[in-house]
Amino acid sequence: MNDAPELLSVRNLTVDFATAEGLITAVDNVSFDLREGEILALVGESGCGKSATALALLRLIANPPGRIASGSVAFRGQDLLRASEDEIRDIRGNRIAMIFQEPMTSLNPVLTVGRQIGEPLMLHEGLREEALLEKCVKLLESVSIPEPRRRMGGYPHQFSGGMRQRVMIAMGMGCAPDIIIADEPTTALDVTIQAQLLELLRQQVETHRTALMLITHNLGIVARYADRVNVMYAGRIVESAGADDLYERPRHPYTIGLLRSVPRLDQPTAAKLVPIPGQPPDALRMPQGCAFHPRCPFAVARCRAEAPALREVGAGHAIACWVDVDG
Amino acid sequence: MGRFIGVRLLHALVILALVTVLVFIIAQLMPGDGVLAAMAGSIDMSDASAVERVRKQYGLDQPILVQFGDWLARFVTGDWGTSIGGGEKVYDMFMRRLSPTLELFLGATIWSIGIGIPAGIIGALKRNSAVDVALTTGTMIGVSIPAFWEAIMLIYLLAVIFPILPPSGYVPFFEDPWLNIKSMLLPTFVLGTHSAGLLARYVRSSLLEVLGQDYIRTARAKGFSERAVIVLHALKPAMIPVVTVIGLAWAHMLGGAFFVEVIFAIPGLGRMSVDAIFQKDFPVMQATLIAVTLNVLLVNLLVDILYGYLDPRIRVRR
Amino acid sequence: MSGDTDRRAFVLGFVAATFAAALRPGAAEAAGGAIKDQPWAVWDKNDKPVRGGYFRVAAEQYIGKMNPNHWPVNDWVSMGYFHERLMFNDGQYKPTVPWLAESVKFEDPKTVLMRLREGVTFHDGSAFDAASIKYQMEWIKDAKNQAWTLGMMAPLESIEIVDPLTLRWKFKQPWAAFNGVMTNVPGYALSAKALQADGDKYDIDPKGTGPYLLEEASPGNYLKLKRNPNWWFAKASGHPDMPYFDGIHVSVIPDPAVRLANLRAGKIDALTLEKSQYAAVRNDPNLNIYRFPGNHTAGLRFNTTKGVFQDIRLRKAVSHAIDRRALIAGTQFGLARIASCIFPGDHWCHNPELKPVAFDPDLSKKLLAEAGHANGLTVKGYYPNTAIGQTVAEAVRNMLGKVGITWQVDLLAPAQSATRMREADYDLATGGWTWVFDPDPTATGLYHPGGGFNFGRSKNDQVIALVEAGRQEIDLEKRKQIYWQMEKVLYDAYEDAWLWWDETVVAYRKQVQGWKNEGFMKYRDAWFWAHPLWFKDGKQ
Ligand SMILES: Nc1ncnc2c1ncn2[C@@H]1O[C@H](COP(=O)(O)OP(=O)(O)OP(=O)(O)O)[C@@H](O)[C@H]1O
Ligand SMILES: [Mg+2]
Repeated sequence: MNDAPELLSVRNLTVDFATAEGLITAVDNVSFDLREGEILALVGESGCGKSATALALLRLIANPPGRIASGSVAFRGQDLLRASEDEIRDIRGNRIAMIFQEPMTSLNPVLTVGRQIGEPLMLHEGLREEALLEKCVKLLESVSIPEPRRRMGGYPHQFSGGMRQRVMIAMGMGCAPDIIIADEPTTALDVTIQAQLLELLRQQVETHRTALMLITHNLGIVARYADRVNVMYAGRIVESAGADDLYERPRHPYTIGLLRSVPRLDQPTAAKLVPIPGQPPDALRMPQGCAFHPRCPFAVARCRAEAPALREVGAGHAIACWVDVDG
Repeated sequence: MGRFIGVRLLHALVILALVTVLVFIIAQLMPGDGVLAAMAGSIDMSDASAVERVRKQYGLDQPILVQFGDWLARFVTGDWGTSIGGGEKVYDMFMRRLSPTLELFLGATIWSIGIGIPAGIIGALKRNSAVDVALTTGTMIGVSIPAFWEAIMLIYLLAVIFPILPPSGYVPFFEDPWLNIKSMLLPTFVLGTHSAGLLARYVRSSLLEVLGQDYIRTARAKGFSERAVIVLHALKPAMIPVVTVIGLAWAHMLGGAFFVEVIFAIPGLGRMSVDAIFQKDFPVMQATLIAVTLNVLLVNLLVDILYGYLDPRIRVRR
Repeated sequence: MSGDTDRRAFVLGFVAATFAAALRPGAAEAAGGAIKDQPWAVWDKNDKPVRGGYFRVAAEQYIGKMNPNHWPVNDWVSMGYFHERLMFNDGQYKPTVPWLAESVKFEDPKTVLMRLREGVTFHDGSAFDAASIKYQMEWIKDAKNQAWTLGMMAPLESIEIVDPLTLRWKFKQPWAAFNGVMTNVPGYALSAKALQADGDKYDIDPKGTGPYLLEEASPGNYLKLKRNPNWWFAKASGHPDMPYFDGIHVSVIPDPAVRLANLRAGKIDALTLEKSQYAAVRNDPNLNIYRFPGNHTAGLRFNTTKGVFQDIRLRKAVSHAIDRRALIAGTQFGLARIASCIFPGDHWCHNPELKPVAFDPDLSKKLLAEAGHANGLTVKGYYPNTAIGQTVAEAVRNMLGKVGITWQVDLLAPAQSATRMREADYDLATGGWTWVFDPDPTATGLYHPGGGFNFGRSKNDQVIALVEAGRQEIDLEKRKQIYWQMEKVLYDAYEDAWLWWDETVVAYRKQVQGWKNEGFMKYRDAWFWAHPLWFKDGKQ
């Protein structure tokens, strides 16, 4: 995989939110790459900045209150953060598609589903009328919506949560994008549909050499689908590794804790589940040093004073930790 | 939908019937006597019997129930009686005064929407900017400025100091379209600015709320320009609460129409109805209050229908 | 009128302001002769009127019904453009000027011989003659025609046609007010032909004899009148081009400020101003402004038969507590004369001996103490709820308050005050009136038990006797003495507290020519109709 051409190169991305209480750094100096045909998972606890990272890539952070404070996002060599409005609009929905986390609210309630699916195609591919209709029907079929032709005239509220999420996915895949960013695409769904949809996404990746950035906190999904995994904690990437590598040898104490806290299919169910003690830090009162140190069983003095940068600890494996624990 | 409208119309009829009776009772409870009041200011001073004669002429010497029965029986056949204060046939009077008022309402609504919605949209888009502050202040002024004062100032400015518009008066459109438009410009503006200010505030907050919704982010992620996002995705849902405001504004316009019609000398229903109330001109009062009720009911119905159009969730529920 | 409405007074004020000239004061008859020999008809040699243009005026309300005998009529000024009366009042409001009638002569107190002008035609082409007047009067007296003026014609017994232009009127009892009634509503000559054809249609399609005829009516909006090319007066006066305007356009503009804006914008040519507007326009270079006495008396009415004001000392206390000069300056913008009794100073029935009640708060306090109200007196009443009404009521309340009288005054709409008046439910209330014709209606209305503004609140036997005597006395000089005497009795009895006599202000655009205030004040209506207005160069 590593030799595939690089599509997206994110460097030192930092996103702030100005809240009434103070400035929150939701994404802190994040760097990663995405290659053609790669499935990259972004995992971490709720609020660690996964969605913010994803939105920042396409400059969709609501401003105010949000702001991309620094960094660069190179897509095929073009810096999206410095691109003109026209240029970035040409990429959104076309070269890079997003599938949002909240299927219940991410579809416009007053527009027909058909129209919403068709919009990117109209906008970017200039499809009209019959051609557009056919394409939309195909898309809906591909996400297993029954009676797609009839359903196109329906409104989101007439769809179940799972169907809406499938509509979202169909919408994202319409223009055969280079990159799909799927923000917890399956959270609302039951397990069979979950698998079905992820399979669908994987197919897309395989047939079109699309890159998929899969945001989730479901480590099971990560294990099954992802090529690489970035683990985020409090706005930072704390560990980045190939999926197999990570599962076999997590090196960051947070990752280790995370893996212990969820059931694993490859382990006997009897194995003990150990939740990570403590709470994620308050974004307004980030601890000095490593943000994880208050919860870290391996913390040393340096952890409290100085935040560790990401460092290579193996081939394609990096962690942000002063201590190198071999899980 | 058809059934829904049918039911609403039935409601309207029941409410109308209630209003008719209520108006009658209220008119009877109101102190004073319309004929005496009107005649007291007329030139006959020595002859108390003249009042009695006129009262008889209008059937006001009859017991209340008889009066009501008479009125009702004639009303349903299209004979709405004769105005006590003006001597005109109420039906003719009503019909003649309907079109100026409708034109006034329509014009005012155009102003109100034409100013209120763009102002609201700009306010929402340039939120907290100097433009927004200016617009917010402007709409505040629009809402709180007394209509009377605004009207007189505008008349002096645009008809006396810079004489481009007639100071007052009404010319039917079909008689002289250009003069009609010129003479309706100020009155519709005065009536429209009040609801425009209100509308702008509603549009602004409604649009701001919509713009914060997830589906707007979805639209942006599709690659739409900001303008397209607003026009194609934000405006329609943002209009849902605004339609209610427009409907309310329309229903409330009759109150404003009174001032505006008096000031600008427009022979419309607003002026007629309030004159009738002051003069205790019962036949006119009945007709206008029924018209007011009908107006409110029809506007509500229209708002409901529009709601259904704008919000598919409601459409299905009914 | 009930006194309230300063607003209506303006409308009516203009009517009264267009009432006519003195001929032979003191005579109970009005004799005619050729129009051009009448003093009120003499023209200034320099006047060279030109034809052309529509004269544009504003009315506060739409005219209503255009048969003056059908109620309601809301615009009497316009009524005068297309209907003329048999008689006019002169500059002293004395009904002595024959107009459509050529002469009026009492043969005895119950008989009048009236000769009509020759060559007068109605707008429908029918002749104005003895038969048409007889028909009209009988039409008024027939209850089924619903003329509100029926009561005014009650003393009439019959009319006899002597010859085509001569009538003999016979009365049931001596009727001194006959001439006065002929200057008033029943005196408007209506086409008998039109009345006969359709009495209801007349309300919207009037056929008078006046200088203008109805061209177009838009109820609630405007009246358009066009020049009557066959106006009898043009021929009779030797000015065949009268009237000089092509027509008159009366727009209904309810708001006074907007009426003024229309005048200033040149959209109307003449306007009776609100008093408050006078100061603002008096120096306007585009306008000519004229002031003249109006025919309205403002006053406060006592309930002298019920409650505390049966005591003359308390009525006196109220009257002396009021600073009339301050009231006029403060609430009437100086545009009024201090009133001393019921008839205005320029009225032939006003007793010139009477001086306005002095402002003397100390006397008021003394009188209150004498009457046992040293610690204050509370009375109730009402006043119109108009803007001006509120100001006046507040001012009076303050003045009374200073001497220890608390006036609990309700500000009421006309319908409510009419009811309060009818039920005599007040101690002290609004009480002005507009004097428009014979003195009897004023006197009867206010002080006779059958009066439409009395309802038992005043019962002064001496006054009642004088009122009844006044009705019968056809000799104008003797009749005048009766009303002078009546005023004296009222004055001495402090029957009411009279406040001021009005003044009227009219404004004309400079373009409008022909108004001479002195001539108008001297001869009123007759002067007005005998002297045309015209546009300079015939252009609006
Ligand atoms: N509009 C906003 N205003 C203020 N703070 C925000 C906003 N959006 C996100 N944040 C803050 O940014 C941080 C990261 O939020 P983000 O939505 O990226 O979390 P996440 O990792 O996607 O969580 P989840 O798994 O719950 O979706 C959080 O602390 C959140 O409170
Ligand atoms: Mg998220």
